[in-house]
Amino acid sequence: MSVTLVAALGLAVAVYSLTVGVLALRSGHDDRLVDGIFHLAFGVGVLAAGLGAFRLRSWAWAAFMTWAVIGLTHQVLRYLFLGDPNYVDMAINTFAVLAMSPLEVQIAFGLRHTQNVHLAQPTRNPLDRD
Amino acid sequence: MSTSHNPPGIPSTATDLELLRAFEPVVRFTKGEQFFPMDVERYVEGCGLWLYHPDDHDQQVIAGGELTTERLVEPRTAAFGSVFYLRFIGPMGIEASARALAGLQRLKRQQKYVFRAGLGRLARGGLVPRLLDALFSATLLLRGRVPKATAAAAVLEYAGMQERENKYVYHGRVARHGGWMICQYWFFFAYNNWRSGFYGVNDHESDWELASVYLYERDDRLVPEWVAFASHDFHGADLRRRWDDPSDLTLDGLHPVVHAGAGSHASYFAPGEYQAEVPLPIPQRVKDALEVLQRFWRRTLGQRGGENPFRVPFIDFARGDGLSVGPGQEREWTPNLIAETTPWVSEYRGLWGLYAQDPISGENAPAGPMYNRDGSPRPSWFDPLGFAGLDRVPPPPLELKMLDADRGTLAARQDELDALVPREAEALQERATRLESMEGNPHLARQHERLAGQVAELAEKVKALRRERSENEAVLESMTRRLERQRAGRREHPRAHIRHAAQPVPPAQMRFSRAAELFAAVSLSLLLIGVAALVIFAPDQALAGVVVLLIALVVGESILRATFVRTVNRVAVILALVATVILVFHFWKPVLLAGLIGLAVFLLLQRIRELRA
Repeated sequence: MSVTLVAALGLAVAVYSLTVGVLALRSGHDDRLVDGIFHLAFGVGVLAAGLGAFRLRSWAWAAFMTWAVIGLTHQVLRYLFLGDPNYVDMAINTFAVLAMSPLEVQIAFGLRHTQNVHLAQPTRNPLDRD
Repeated sequence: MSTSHNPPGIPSTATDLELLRAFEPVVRFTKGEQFFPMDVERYVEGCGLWLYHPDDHDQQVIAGGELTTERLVEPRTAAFGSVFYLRFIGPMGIEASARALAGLQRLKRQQKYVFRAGLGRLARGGLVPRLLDALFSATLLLRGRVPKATAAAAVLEYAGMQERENKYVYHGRVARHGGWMICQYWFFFAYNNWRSGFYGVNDHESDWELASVYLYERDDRLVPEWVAFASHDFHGADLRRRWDDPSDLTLDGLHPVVHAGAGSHASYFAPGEYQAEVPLPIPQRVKDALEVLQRFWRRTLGQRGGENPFRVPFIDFARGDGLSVGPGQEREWTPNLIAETTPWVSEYRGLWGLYAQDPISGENAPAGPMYNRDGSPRPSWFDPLGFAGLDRVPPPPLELKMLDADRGTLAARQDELDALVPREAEALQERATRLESMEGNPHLARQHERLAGQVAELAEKVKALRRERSENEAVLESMTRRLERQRAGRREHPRAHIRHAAQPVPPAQMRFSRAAELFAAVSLSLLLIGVAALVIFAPDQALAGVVVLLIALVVGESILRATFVRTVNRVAVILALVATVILVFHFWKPVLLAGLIGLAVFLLLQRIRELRA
């Protein structure tokens, strides 16, 4: 569920970024050319990561985490040293990290292996009790 | 499991010296080693005897050159807190130090000194351990330590001794405990130059190492069964290997092969480079806090790792590509028989080299084979079986007898239980029936209560007896199986006793790519230059710049070390935690409301689903 949300969020960001990029390029202003190319490239990257996350690809997980590290570093430093962070960006990145970090999510992405089951755990079944 | 064959051995009538010579080890050193096992007599004659007083001053008791092993053990008294110690190299002035360092360079050229460490240690540890490594080196300025010139002078002094008399000595002792005969080979080195010579942890004057062979008697022959080496950072059963264990133990005829660590002289079974990690001495409160954080990291956040970051990686080079000493090797041993009756062994409790006053003792010289640094008895001497976790292991011929006798005792108890359990079970049923018959009779309340207690007690007893019988059955079965195996001559796996084995790190794992090693060598300096540049060119953003620089270095190095996924996850989780704190601090009300509403919706959906089902 949380991974689906992150992937959907990624796709939404990709659509937004691609739209901004296309609009910037179509505006015909030279000063918006670089901005448009950046948004288009970023949009394509996030689109690929979002689709990869839906298909549980390990590279997509790494891409989302890298994106989150850059975003969070930026926002935390802005908070600590400039006092004007983008709290929405910070919250989205935090959510993405917390959603993508749990063991079971990493196992699903093929990044980690299942842990051993603790056989000696206490049980409520009288057959298993002393 | 292996099948027994005619084991090697020597006649049980052999004298202690013959026994020691029959199994004396071959020691293979690393190229570049400068100290080899020597006799204590020559060493002592080159030393002075000193006394450290508790009021922090040192007094020379016997001047260098005047000491002998006889004079060393003369009875002496001193105040509590005093330390007697030898000084192989006396106090040195600037001129003598410079002469020693220059002399060492000359000697290395003459000897064609060829040790090459490689950069593996630094690349392996990552940026944080490298920062700590720098800190560890800095602590040496504050702690007591052996000066580098002392190491150089010791090399020259020892080289001079060897030039006068080229001799390689072990101090052999034969002990008899619990049916075992133990040949102990104590190796004495004039100096441990692991730090100054091989990028290791410490330097100290004098060094003792031990290799032991454990034998038992069968058909008038003494048969070797176990070999134990003093591998650093290991203890108990992990120190020993069985004579027929081909995976780890190298034998040259009847001679076990020791691979000695360069400078440290630690003994290893297999040649290679061993990773050693030295934990930094941090206060208990910090350790406790770290423990809580690690638990949170692993259990709550479900992250991997969370190991103690306050450790510095070192490498013990036991390559075995240098001089080899032992029977049939380039150099042969001169044995020196010792026992409790040898005066310098039992009567001198001081240190065998410089007392550097290092509070964590890494740079203080060790005491003799029989004592610890504080003068208390050394377990490897008074309990050679316990030292290698053999105190609970009988020699093979005794084991069969013991197992058979124990099995007989257990079988007899089982017969007893076979009769007892039905009897007690019947008694329990009788009492329980009587108890039931009392129901509905208020005048029997007191008796009912008393009998109910007895019934409960008896029920517990019957349960315990049945459990004992069931458990004994399983134990008997396993004992019978083992007896059958032993009688058929089949033995347990030779490595069944090992929990943690010292294994050399594979070269591929130890040495990363050239780029990673280069990065490891320059990263710390790069970081410091970067910080300096930030302070000069962007003082207002220096702190933020340092954070970005650190993250960039850590993530950049993880790409070179092929640990990108793990590292980026760690950095992301740490940043997310910081961001969470910031968000909760500023938006606690909306966060709380969102949490409550979210929980309410979740519970509502759950209940509706339950109702609809």
